[in-house]
Amino acid sequence: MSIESLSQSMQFQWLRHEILSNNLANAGTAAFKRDDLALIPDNVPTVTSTSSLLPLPTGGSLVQWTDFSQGFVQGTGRTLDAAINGPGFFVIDTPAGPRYTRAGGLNVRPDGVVVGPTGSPILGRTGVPMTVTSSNVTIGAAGEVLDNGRLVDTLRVVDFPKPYRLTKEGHGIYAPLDPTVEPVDAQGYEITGGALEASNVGSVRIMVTMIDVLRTYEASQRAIQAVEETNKHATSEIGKVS
Amino acid sequence: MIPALYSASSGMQAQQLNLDTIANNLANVNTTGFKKTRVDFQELLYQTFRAPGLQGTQGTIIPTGIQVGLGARPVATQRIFSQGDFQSTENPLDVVIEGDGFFQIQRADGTTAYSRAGAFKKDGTGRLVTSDGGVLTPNIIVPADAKNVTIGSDGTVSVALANGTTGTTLGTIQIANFVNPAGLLSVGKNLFTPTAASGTAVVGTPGALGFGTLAQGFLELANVKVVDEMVNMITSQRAYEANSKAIQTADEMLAISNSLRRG
Repeated sequence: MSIESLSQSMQFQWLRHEILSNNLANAGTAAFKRDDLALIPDNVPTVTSTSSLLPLPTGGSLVQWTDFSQGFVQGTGRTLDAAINGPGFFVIDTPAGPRYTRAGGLNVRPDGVVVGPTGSPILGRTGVPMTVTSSNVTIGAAGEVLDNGRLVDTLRVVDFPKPYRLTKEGHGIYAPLDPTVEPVDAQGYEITGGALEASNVGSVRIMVTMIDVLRTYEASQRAIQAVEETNKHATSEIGKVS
Repeated sequence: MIPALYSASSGMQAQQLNLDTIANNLANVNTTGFKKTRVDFQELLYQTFRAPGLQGTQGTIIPTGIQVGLGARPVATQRIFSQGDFQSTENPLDVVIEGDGFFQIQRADGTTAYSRAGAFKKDGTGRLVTSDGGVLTPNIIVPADAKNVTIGSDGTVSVALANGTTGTTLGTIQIANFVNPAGLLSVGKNLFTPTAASGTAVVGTPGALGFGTLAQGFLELANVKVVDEMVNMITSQRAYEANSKAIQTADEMLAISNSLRRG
């Protein structure tokens, strides 16, 4: 093992810990989806070292991925909360264009416009912001927004081709990496009113991964020291002219 | 220098605020008309280590890039105006609003505040006031010789007088509503004041479209569910603990890299 590949391993573990820490910090963030990092070899080595049964890594790429698995739906007793059960995203109308979110803690602006968690209007199937007049707003199982029983519009839920090629913009907002990609209407979802989707961060899994990260980091450090020891030996003793 | 330390500490601060909120909910479990709050969190911005869509080493397009989030932050304390349970008190001046609406209370400084707590009393002049002396608006003045105060579901207050006259109407309790009650500012003493976010008060007669009805002889209990708050407290405490472990781990990793260079 070269010092370079060992230090790459340390950098990988470091970055992975950054990502795990962010997951943990968002264990209480509604509809948060956990991220993780993997080190995937660029090419499977054809030469295997005779002294080792393991193929030597010849560099690799860091691949970050987001686990879009469903978070559990938690009742909140607040009528303006909506959780998506199944695939899909709500559509919000931001100054930068349409954006997508699963965080369904809706609010009503003083002018009666229903807004998403970042304050941008949430869009219904008719594609225009919804305006309500009463404080008795409820959300039905298909996403119907009822203003004192009057149907205002139905929340639009869209989906993207999988695997998702979405980027996180923070605040629970997603945008497609390729801005020309148009979402399609989501299929097979259900909306629960009066509930929010919890974060899908499981602390047990993170704790285990964190131990793994820490000890692999430590092992790589020990290996660097061992390599360094060997090099020292080679330069100061074998090379010694007696 | 090390985002992990700060993102984990932001998680700890967020859970701290969560615990503060839970503690306040639990402290008010017996407060008439109290509405619980919860904290809403959002993820912070993402730091891009490698932009998605870049050209990879062998001509491939990197599909996802690497973005590291910088933690969480509380964005709102959301007050939940769900109906509390009713408690029968048999006190004729205890009133609950069944449905949407707030009592209008005139404060000592002349401004109007709004409340769900309908435990009214009479002051020295017979006016209906709250426990803190805030005057119910529009004023209802109960004569000294009145018996059997009756409050109808539409807010009509009538009494029987000592001289045998019955059904004398003293006035009507009107209630106020807001398009966004969550935007009201809580000022303590069970009172809320309007803000730019709540919109202005719309006053109406109880039972009109969009307004709740009144029921006499009941109080609205706090809508805090002790079991729910306990569960929230456990998850919050464990999340706090987990975030502190992330800080410890980052610290140990730093120690390990610092000990790379020996001697």
